[in-house]
Parts: sequence; structure tokens; C-alpha cells
Amino acid sequence: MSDTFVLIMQVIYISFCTLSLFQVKKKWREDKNKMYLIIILYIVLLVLVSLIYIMAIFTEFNTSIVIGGNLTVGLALAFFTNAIQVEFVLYLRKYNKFYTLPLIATLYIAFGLLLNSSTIIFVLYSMVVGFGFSSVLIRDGKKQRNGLAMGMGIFFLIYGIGAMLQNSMLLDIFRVAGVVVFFVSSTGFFEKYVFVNEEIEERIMKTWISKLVV
Amino acid sequence: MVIDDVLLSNLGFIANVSSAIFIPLATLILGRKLLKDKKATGQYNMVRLLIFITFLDFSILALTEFIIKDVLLGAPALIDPYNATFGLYNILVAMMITLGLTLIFYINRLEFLYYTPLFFFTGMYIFYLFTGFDSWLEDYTTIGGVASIVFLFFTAFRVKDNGALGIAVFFTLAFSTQFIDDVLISRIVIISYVVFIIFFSLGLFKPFKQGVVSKDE
Repeated sequence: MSDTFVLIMQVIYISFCTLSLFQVKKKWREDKNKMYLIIILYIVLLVLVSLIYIMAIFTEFNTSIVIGGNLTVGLALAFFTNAIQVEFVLYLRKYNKFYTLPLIATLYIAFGLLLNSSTIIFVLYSMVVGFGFSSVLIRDGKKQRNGLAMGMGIFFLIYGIGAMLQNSMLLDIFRVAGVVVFFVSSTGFFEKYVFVNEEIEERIMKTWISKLVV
Repeated sequence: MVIDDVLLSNLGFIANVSSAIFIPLATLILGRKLLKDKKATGQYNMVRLLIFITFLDFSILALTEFIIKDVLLGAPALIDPYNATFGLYNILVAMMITLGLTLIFYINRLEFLYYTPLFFFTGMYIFYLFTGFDSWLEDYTTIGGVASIVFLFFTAFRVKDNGALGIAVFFTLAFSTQFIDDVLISRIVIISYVVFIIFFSLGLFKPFKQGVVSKDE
């Protein structure tokens, strides 16, 4: 029952990821912005991680396989996704000088897991990436009226909350909820319906003021 | 034999005293030039600033070496600053190499690598504080030191920059002392880089007659 549930959730998750991938690819064809390429790479990575989880249901392979010391396959995959998340935010904010920071941080944290059993540093790093960077993305997305960035921020946030609950069933549900928001944002929904059109807002406000004056 | 010992001991004293006097003096001259430049342009020249910090670092190293070796005051707050892997001496040497690498990336306009050596070294130190792992420092110092000298020479000849070449020559002399086992040669090298640094900081080292060549030229 549990395996069936995980399988269904993973299939839904991969489907939405694929749909988002096509939407982002369409956007990339339109204006060749490098940001879309990074998002495409991130989605591909998410799908690959999901496929590994599905593979774990049907085969003896599982994500707790130890690479060395206390570093497991699952943690290594988490490192990859975290690093790409940070790179995406750095790229969006044009912090070119910090591009190597997530890679060096990942190197030391991963190496630390090879030597030490404590996962505290990894958890702290994931929390900073999950919550800190998602709030930056949401704020920037809102400010620059970039629905996709905001959608990604919400996705990271929901994913982060799910991971924090330490329950695999809840994590699957949260992940699917997050990817649905991400897909919706990739269709341009936020630009159309969520961000208030400044021109219209100004026009309405002027009418109010003129009414007050008159 | 006794004469040899006395000679070496005196030569060592001269090397340490001259390092402790002239390297901070050269740093002060460079600092003055940096401030003068800042006053004229309104902002710090990044290359001058990096060179100044590198020399400041080297001054602290020279003064510490002088105080610990010759004045024998010791440093109670620093446990084993000379022999510990992450002792003050090794930290300052590694810091100098880190700044040398930063300087190379800055001169070559490799913006995404500007802070990479600083991140790497700081990460290594934090990692050491958490785990006690210090095996990478020696390798980093050796590889980073050789790489920074090689690239400084390469950059200096590519852009025909007297500053970069001067730093490259100075670092080559300073860094070579780490590998020279012979005490006599080591001390002569120390005195020679002290002499060189005086020439360099006074602006007398000008093997390239023209100014820095821009990328477009």
C-alpha cells in the first residue's frame, strides 16, 4: 500500500515536472535567457531523483546506500539539488562573484559526512537553502513581476517544509503540492492573475482621488 | 664549526631584523600610495588594495617571526604558533597564497573566481574547527603557492605589468625559503627578497618600459 502510494505520488510529480519543463523550454525558445536553461537543468535533476526513488521501490537499490563514511546516495542527491537551488538564486541576483560558494560549501559538508556522523551542518545548510533562499526568490519574483521565480520560491518553501516534517508520506504530498504551484507559475498564471497591474491600479486610485476632490 | 654557527646565527638575526623593519616599511609606503590613489579617484584601486593586504599579512608574519625567534616574548594566546598545522605562521602563509590567487583572478578578470580562494581557505579553517581535519593545508599551501607564482609570471608577461612581475619575483624568493634546506642559502634568499622589496616599493623595479597593456591592444 505504501509503495503504491509512493509510486502514484512520484508519477504525478514527474508528470508535473515534465509539463513544467515543456513550458520553460517554450519560454527559453522565445528569449534565449540563460536562466531558463538553469531551470531546465534543475527540473531534469528533480525527475532523475524521482526516477531513482521509483527504482528503489522495484529493485534492491535504495537511497540509503553508503558512498563512504556517512554520506549516502540520498544525501548526495540532496546536495546536488541544494547547490543548483543556490546557483539559481545567485544567477537571478547577478552575484557572479559567489558562483563557486555553493560548490565549495557542498564539498566541505559532503567531506564532513565522510569523516563525521553528525548531520547537523547538513540540516542547517538545507534549512538556509530551503527557507532563506525561497524567501529571497519569492520577494524578488514579486518585485520584478517574475512569476516563474516566485513559483520556484514557493516550490522550494513547500518542499522545505515537507522535508522538515521528517515523514516520507507528508514529504511526497508536499512535493506534489509544490510542483503543482511551480507548473502553474510556468504557465504565466502569476503574471496574469496574481500581480496587480500597476497601470490599472494607478488609474483606479486617480479616480478615487478625483472623487474625493470633487 | 664554531665560526660557522656564529656566522649563521648572526646572519639569521640580520635576516629577521631586516624583515621586521623593511617589510612593514614597504607596507607603509604601499598603504600611503593606496590612500593617495583613493583620494584622487574616490575609490580604492582593487589591485593596489590586494597588494597592500598581502604585504600587511607578510608584515605581521615578519614581525611575529622576529618577536618569537629573537625577542623571545612568545605569544601566550597562541598555542604552538610555529609547529601546529593551523598555527599562526601557517595561517598567515596560507592567507598570503590565498590573496595571491585572488590577485591573479582579479587581474585576469575571472569574476566568478574572485572570492573562490577565500571561500576555499575559510571553508578549510571552519572545517578544521569542526572536525580537527588539517591534512589539506600543506597541500593547499604548496599547490596554491606554486600556482600563484606561475600564473603571476604568466600574467605579468601577458599584460606587461611591472607590479605583477615584481610580486611574482618577490613571492618566488619568499616561497623558495620553504624548500631550501641549506641554512646559509635560505638566509641569503631572505636578505635578497628584503632588498628586492625596497626597490619594488620605491617604484624602481621597471623591467617593462611601457604601461599596462589593455586587453584590446
